[in-house]
Amino acid sequence: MTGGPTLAIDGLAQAWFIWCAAMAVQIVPIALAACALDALLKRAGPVVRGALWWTTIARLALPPDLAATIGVPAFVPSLTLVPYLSGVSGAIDASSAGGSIGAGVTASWIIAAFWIWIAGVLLCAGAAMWRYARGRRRLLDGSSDAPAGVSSLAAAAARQLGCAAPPVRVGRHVVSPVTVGIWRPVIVLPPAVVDVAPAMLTHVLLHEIAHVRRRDPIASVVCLAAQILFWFHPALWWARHRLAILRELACDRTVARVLGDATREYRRTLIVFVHHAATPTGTALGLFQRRSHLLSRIDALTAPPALSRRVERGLAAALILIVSISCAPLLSRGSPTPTFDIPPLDRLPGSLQKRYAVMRALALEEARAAH
Amino acid sequence: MKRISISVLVVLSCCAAAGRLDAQQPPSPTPASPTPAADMAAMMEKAKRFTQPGAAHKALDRFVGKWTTEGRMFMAGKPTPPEKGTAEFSWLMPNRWLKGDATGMMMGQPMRAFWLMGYDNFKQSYVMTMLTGMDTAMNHAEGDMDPGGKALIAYGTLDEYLTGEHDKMVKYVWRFPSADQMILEIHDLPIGEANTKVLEVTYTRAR
Repeated sequence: MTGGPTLAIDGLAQAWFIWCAAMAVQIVPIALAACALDALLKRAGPVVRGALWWTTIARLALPPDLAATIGVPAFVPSLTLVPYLSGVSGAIDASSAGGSIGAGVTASWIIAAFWIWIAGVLLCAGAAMWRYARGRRRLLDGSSDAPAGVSSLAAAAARQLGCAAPPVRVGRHVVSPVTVGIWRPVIVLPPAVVDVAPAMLTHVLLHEIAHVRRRDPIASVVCLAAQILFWFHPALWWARHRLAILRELACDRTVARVLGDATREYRRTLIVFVHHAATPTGTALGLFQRRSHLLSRIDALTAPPALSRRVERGLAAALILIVSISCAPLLSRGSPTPTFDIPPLDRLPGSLQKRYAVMRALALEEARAAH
Repeated sequence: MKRISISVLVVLSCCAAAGRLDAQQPPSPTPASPTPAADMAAMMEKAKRFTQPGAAHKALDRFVGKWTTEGRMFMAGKPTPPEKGTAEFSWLMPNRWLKGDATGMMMGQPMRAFWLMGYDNFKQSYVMTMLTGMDTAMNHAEGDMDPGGKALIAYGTLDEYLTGEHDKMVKYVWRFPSADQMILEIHDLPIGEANTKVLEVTYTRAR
């Protein structure tokens, strides 16, 4: 490999490492906080608990060195990542410039990790796309429009939820009701479901349309993308798993709000359908994400909601804010380049002060180039 | 004529007598030299004294450990904002050579520094070598501990690549206010008699 591409890969690996290491560390305290609050606030409802887990994923979309002045690093400066990250990046610089004591070893380790990460991302992304394409084909191949009666039930259910009804189809290879597609989701029902009692069918449709109304297919894709990027990080796997469960609970809660006293019938529908439930593939959303969660769902439906919808949303927003401020900057990179004025070179006595001034100018130039 | 002959005879007699006397004298003794066995013992004693670590090396033990650092430069008499880092000192060879590895930021740039320190028994001076990831120079310094053991003061030289000057005098002062804190000062001596301090790093022992 020639020098140019090697240096480009070194630079890419360095940027990746700084970003990935900062994120990987920063999401740990957020995930731990979400985990603890998720367990403590069981009565708060799935929207609030889901919001906590979303802070873990949302952190990935923010700059790694984002820090609030009232965050934890303001009180515990030793928690900043500056020395560790800068030390490693310095090692890569040294390696690129010809190497120095021990630097080559560190740099090659990071570059190897970079390639392993790329391979993992490609593998996970390939597997997800293959599963999505295969699942969609299996669910929709040979499917037909739902009978008029089913469509009218869907339209009525959508009206109750305050949204437009998505297309409903009947699939020959479908064993459990499922919502397929990301931007324009389609509800696919198994042939047997079409013949069940209209009340049960309404329950099923309400649940699936609740997924569509909440834009759960898009949320599911975002979770999957985060998990693919951080395939090595258990916090992302756990966050996606918890969000899938909480999504089902949130849809159950929506259906319960619509049904009111008839929620008991909905619980019965869940029990009837669990026997035929199959775990949906890829980003598809079914009536059951996991059959084993039936009991917790029934349990959640039995207990009346502790909070009103408005309070629930307000609490969710407040919790996201608190967790973000207190945890997100916990291990931020801080501010590595504090601002101050450098006097002109001719006003600096001796040579070392001139040297420092030149170093500062080079640092600023590098920062500008990075921008 | 007769008088000259007698004089020549007397001179010749004296010379002959002197030669005879010289021939009869025993060889002058050489300065007292020890026996081979005693010579080896003295050399061994010297070797032990100059090659084995002693109390001066033990004094470097105060460096050993992990530290958090806060460094600032002094430019035109004003300190720059502090920049944080970490350092770890450990024995490269037990009680003989100390190594220090530091990372952090310096004027907004990532910085790594490496120290090698020891005490040269024969020079009767502390010796140190410094490397940094910010240039390609290997700098040396030598110095002594103050009588109270509260500061290690060393002098060295550096070549200034910016101005083309060679062997400029630099003073390094390690102050030890307590067991859990030490302060490194670097002084640019050609500046003059005052305000020579250009860098100060405070090391606080990590808990």
